[in-house]
Amino acid sequence: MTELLEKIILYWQFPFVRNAIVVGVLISLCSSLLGVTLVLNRFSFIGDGLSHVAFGAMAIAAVLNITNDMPVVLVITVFCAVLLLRTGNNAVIKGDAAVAMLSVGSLAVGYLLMNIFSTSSNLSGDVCATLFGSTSILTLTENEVSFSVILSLVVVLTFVFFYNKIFAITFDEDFARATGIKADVYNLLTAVIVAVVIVLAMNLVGSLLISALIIFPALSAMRIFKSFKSVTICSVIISVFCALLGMIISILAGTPVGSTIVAADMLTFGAFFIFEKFSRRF
Amino acid sequence: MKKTRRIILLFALVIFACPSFSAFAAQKVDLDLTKLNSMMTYSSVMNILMDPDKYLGKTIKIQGLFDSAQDPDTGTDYFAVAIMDAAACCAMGLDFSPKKEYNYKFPEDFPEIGAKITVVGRLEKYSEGDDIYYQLAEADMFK
Repeated sequence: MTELLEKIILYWQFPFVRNAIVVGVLISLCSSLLGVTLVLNRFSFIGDGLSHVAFGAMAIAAVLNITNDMPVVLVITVFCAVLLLRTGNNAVIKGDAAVAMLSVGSLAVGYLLMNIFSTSSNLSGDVCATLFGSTSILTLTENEVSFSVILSLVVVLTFVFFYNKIFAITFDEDFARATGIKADVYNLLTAVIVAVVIVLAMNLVGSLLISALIIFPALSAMRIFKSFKSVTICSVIISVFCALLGMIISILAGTPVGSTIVAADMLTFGAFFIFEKFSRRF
Repeated sequence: MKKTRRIILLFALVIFACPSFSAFAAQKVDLDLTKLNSMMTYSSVMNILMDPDKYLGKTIKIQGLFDSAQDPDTGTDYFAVAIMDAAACCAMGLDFSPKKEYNYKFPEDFPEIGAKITVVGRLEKYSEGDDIYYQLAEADMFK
């Protein structure tokens, strides 16, 4: 126990560990806030699709030798998010087909570009880091940390400020429209926020595991709580707790950060699932 | 008497078998990466390479796999200690140049490529043509 504590104290002295914990907690908070809305609206896979778009955007930034790729990735991902949600019912290719098309297309183009134009000597390493996060969260630059903190605050403030509108649209979009709420505008806002969260979360868990960060905390919270507010609060607590636990375990044990966080999320979901089954019986 | 002679012989063996041992122990280390696990070591090296000027002049102790490359034009040998991340899919290297006083010859005085080594050296900047590089200079290498 003393040895473990000494290890924690030793690792805490590294500024990049402190940065990782701060950014990781903020990212998990943002993703869980949106998770409830996305799961209830059956948009769980939009996160997955957009994360692949972000991978493609990252590949473009790498090919163009852009050192700070976050703004480029953000612009492309937001554009695709808007495209997906704005096309709506008038689109030639609708819903899940559009998401799937964009998702696999971006993944393929991204990998192709990295293979053809990459100047890196460790291509498989770069791809592995982008897809699974690897140590990205532990190697953030000062600019990336500041950018992540600002974007996270914007996401949290937007959610808090428009909470009532998001709540109304999530449960009954038609009724919300009838009461004068501009549902399209808020759907667009949600799409932009989802894109921002995905770009942020790529550093934490990588593009293939982002959906887990959005879905698992919300689904776990839904096992026990039933109101939108309580599910959202519980989802935030679960997400932040799992992210912290996952990061601490991975830093101490040397396991990959992203998959450790997702494993913690899965175990929490399992625990909540069992608790729900038992609480129903008694 | 016999016992004393044996102790002296053992001590001499330790000193001469590891030519850098005494210096290795004497160097004051600012950043000891050997106490960290593979992922933390990898992240530390990545952070050093992302902002090397922040670590200039600091003595760094690092453990990893020995690697070497030769410039075909000049014939100069370059040495590095390679670090793998937890998933072993990414590798990161830190160049080092052994202390000149040891007069090491490559390959006879160096370990095999891929062998585990510990290196202690001061991070310094050097240039070749227009390019700027960073390396652990005046390094002690512990095979």
